[in-house]
Amino acid sequence: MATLGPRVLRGVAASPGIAVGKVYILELEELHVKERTLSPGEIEPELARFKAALAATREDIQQVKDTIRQELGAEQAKVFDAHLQILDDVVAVEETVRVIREESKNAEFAYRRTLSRIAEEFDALEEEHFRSTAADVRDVKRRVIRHLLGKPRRSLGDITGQVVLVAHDLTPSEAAFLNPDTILGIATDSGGRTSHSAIMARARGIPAVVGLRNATLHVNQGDTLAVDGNRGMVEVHPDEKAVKDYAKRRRKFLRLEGALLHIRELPAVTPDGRQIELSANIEMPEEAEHALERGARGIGLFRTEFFYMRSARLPSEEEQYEAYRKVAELMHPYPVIIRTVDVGGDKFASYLGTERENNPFLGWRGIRFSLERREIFKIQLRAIFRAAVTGNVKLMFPMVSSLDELRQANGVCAEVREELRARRVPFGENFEVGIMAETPAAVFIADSLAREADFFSIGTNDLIQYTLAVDRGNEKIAHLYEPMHPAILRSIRTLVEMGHKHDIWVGVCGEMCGDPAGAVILLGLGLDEFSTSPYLLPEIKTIVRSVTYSEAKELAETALCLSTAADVRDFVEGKIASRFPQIALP
Amino acid sequence: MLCLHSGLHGNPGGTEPPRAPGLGRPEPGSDGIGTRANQEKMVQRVVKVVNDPGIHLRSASTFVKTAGRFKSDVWVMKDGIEVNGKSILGVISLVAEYGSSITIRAKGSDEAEAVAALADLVENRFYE
Repeated sequence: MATLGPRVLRGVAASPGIAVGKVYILELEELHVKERTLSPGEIEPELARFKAALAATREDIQQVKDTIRQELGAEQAKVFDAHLQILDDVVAVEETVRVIREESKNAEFAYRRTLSRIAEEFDALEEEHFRSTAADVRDVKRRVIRHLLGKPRRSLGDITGQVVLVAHDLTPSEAAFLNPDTILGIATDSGGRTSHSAIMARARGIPAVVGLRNATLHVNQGDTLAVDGNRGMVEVHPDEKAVKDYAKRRRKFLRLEGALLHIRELPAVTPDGRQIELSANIEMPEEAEHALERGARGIGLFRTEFFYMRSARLPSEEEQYEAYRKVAELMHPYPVIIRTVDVGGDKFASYLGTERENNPFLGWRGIRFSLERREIFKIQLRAIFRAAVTGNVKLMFPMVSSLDELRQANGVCAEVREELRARRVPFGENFEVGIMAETPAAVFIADSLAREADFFSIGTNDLIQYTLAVDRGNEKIAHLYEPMHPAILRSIRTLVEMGHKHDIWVGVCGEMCGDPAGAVILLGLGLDEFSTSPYLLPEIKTIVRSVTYSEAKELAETALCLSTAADVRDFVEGKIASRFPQIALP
Repeated sequence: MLCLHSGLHGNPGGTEPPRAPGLGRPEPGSDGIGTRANQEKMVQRVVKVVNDPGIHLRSASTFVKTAGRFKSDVWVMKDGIEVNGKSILGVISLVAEYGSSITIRAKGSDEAEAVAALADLVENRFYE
């Protein structure tokens, strides 16, 4: 039951904006197909009926395709070209005709069986990009069967009033009909920032959080649900005050959006002249464009796991190089910080030899994996080194917890340079190599790491999880996950002090900088760079431009003297409310 | 289990098994000439898949659309499995990933042009 489950669910921020509304759960439509044996005289009419259904479906898809092409361009309409081809696929059609003719079965039964079996074959594939065809086959199948059953209405067309749409996933056809007048927000179990529903939601300006894993289990039809597409969170049953706060946040977001074109050109500099590097975290190369659109002056964290997780084989040097180069060229002259792969933890793949572990976050992941599997590590490093020829590339190692690891990783880099030189392959010679500071060990040995790293980028999510020993995915203790905990503030202060003492820059690439209180504290602690979800950039820039560095510094110094997280939060939020009410998060 | 590939079904001679939707099995054609005999006369070319992540939904769509412009029958083979080059589901089911090699064959009045156009498409990343 929803009331017993967690109130806040975290997923992927897929389309910016805030929405609160009544839940409409889009169930997979039940299409009841009965098996019927035809009499000889019925066969020809049945074939004609099947052909007519195909023709009607063709018209439907064509219409959707035209709409999408006008709205989003030919690129996004291509998926419907593929749907038209699936519809007319010679083998699918011939087999259906054969079942009708030779087995004397009714058209809906014949077509459903044929397409279901084809979809199952795609389901069985290991490679994600090829497996996903199954969903397209089923999408087409449902369209045709609806016509055969005489109910061609689309399920999304049934929605009246304004709702927050909750679904396991949306098919391209469903996504094409997302209407911002009726759909206030979207929350789905699966999908990522580049999935079809995310692209459509952004195009229509509907806030969306995807990849929530089990949102459909935690909400019921008619529940109130708040969707925060900027932070990638949804809240079930927000109370009256929370609903009001979301409404305020929404107005603020819309105000910022309205001024986006103006804001994105402004420098991220405090009123007293401290410049902050404002950059974006991305997971897929395609997201770099968004980052630029929303005013990023660099990619502060380019995660590379998607290369390794999307199919059951090792990504080649060439395909990685192409992707890195593309992003580096697009962002040029701004920097792109590529983090070497961080598999393990909750991301594992049998072909890599990583597997479910009893204690995965303390297990074989990050740089530990790469140093053990050097051949895989080297392929990635070669691709990054080569991409550094054309762009402003920086390299970053995840999960470093000892100086040995940094030295070994730097050693592998030296080998890769030698190999590339010997092979006369052009590569970038002088670029920064830093570490993601995210373990308590890295904090305690920050002085020695700072001597041999070119920068620190603080991954606050893991730093908080490891320092406080709190898994925020665990509902019973999620409330203990507290960025304002004095242990966290002191850890960050140490990293900044040690970094600056050794003349390296220190940034932050976790979610902590996405919250006004967090951003002000981090500014005051002396961070040089903030990297965050592209959608939060305008908001964070407004914060930086509103708060003087001197006041933030004073505030951070006082906060560091407080002994509990609650005291810190009360103090910081109180200060923000009195001194900078314009940036306060309601 | 239905099968998308030609290699696992088709039973020339003997009793006809329940036919499955072989997604693009090279049909021998109504002229009754066996596939094997045809192969010798066909135009074919081996090409490397250079687009990332391979020939999946969208690129297969472009491939099939191009193949459809020719009168000739078209087949695509990978790892000993062959599919109808005009069936999008068949082409995707090959799982022709980045870096793999496929063989494109065509038979008909414009077979040379068909193979040339399709090979060009694959080698140029489908012009995406």
